[in-house]
Amino acid sequence: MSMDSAPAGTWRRRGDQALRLITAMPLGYAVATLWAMALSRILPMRPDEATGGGMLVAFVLCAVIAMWAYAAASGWRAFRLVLIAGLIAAAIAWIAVATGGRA
Amino acid sequence: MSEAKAQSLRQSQSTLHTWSGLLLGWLLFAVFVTGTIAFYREGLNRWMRPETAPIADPMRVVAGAQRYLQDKAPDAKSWSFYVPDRDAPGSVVNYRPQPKAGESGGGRRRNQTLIGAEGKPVAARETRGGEFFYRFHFDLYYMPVIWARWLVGIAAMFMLVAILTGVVTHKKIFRDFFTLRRGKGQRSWLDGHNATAVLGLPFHLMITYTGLVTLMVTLLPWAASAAFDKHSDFYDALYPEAPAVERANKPAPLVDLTALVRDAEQRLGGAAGHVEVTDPNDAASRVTIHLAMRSQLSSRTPKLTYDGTNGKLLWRSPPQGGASVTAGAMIGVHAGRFGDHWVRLLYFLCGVAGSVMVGSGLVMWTVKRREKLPDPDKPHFGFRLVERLNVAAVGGLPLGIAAMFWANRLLPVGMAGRAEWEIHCLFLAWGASAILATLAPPRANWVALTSLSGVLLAALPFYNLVATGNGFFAALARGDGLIAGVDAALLVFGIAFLAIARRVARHKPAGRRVRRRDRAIPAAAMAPAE
Repeated sequence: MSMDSAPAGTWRRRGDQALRLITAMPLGYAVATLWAMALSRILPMRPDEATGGGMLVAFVLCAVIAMWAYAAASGWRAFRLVLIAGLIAAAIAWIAVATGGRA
Repeated sequence: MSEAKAQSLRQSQSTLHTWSGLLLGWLLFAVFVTGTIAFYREGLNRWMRPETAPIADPMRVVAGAQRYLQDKAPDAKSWSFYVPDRDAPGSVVNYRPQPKAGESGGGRRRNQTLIGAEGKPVAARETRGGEFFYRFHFDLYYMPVIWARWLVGIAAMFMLVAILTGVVTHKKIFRDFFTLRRGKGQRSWLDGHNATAVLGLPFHLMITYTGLVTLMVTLLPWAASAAFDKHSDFYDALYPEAPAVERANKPAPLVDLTALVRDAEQRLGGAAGHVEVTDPNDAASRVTIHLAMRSQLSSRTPKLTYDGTNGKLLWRSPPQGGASVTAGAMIGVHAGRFGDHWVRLLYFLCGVAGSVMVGSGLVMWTVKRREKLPDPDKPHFGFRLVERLNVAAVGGLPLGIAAMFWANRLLPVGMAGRAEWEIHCLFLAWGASAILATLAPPRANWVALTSLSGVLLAALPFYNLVATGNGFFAALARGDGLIAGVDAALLVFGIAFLAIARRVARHKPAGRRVRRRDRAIPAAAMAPAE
């Protein structure tokens, strides 16, 4: 866990900072929403209950992703792993809707 | 985690803390301040209508509401009102006329008449009262509600990140709490920021997260799309209602609503809140009564639906699941409506601490950067912008609120659009502060704005003593602690603002004047701080 050691002002450093920012804000929110959608299908409750539960988790996830985006070893690593987490959630939600439909 | 790693984690989180705190800090400050005041919104609703009396018997108001609506709109599509509690000035009654051909649901809500303690319409001054602070807290003003909620929601998410990173940043978090170096410029701001943040930490964390939960359906519009076809299906599942009935178009007198409210209170086990009557005086009339929000922790209150012609109980809301109760309880904890007067006071004090935390954090951003500037006497544009926005936002809002309270007292009672003008006065004063901020140097502005706010706030209770007949001593003599409490709080805040103004005015930047006590500390230890 350390900040990219590239000196300030270089393009590598700027790129690293930009990736962290993108990971924290638009991507973090999108991934949190995707997990809320996935949880609404896999939590063992009524659909409205599972949806509400997923939303409660999503806010925590959003904050944790933002923090980790800045704590990760590099911006690229943060971006990549958060993206993968989002793809997993998207796959769960997509398979659930494709096989089971909606309420 | 090794020491070096811990250090760099703290560094990374410190960057995030600083910027997430600053970017939406001004909005957060306004949200925090108005939210704090909104803990007393029912009380302010009454304080801002000095013509009204406290409610001795809520049932008199309910009976009065029914009499009024029966007279005014016997054939309405629906009636609605709240059973008032003791703090409220009465009950605001609404009705929707029958829909015209081609309209669905019912006409626009009409006639917001206030029924007072005696069960009759009260001729009180027109005001939004404490409701303004409650709505502004998440709807802001002069803009579409949906944009406002997104803005406030994003700000709340930044706040959550700022709090969590703040915990990581302040390694010596509890030691910081016991450190308050007064009269030391930056150190004092830092200590003030740390003390209010740590003291209120559980509260700030709770209020921010639960605040997000209150807006969750708005902020996560796609979250329901995996489990439900339409968003409205999710709502229907979340807030179940009694089976709908068609209007029978056969007249049938409505039962006595006080009897139904008493029955509902018995069955629900607490004071009743919202009451809705659909198709009154029709054979298909229904009366739905909710448990009051103050009667339980969760804001998702259970409800009962009765037949409006004979008072028979037809339907009761099903028990809620765990997630719904959790979300409802979080919203309940956020609004603090469940609490008695002491709990409200605690909420209010924590809210004040939060406002100070946000305000001092904003000021600190500039104080901390000033020392690092190449030439502290000629700061760059960004720095000057933040410094002046701080004055405009943090210094201007209290002045705006004081101006609104005065407008509430001084605007002519019969004035057209009076309630709106009270609010315009707030923004006019706030806007004037912003203009002043661009004209004069920040320090002179801090002194001017805080002292003016202080004078205006402290003078209000004295004005009430002589002008409203409902001043501190009169209220106390009647046992009306709420009105006396609002006046006392205004005086305390007025004095506090004056004290801050005096401090800022007298503050001499350190370095030019070193106090004797501080000379004992080696100069090298002092140098980087001031």
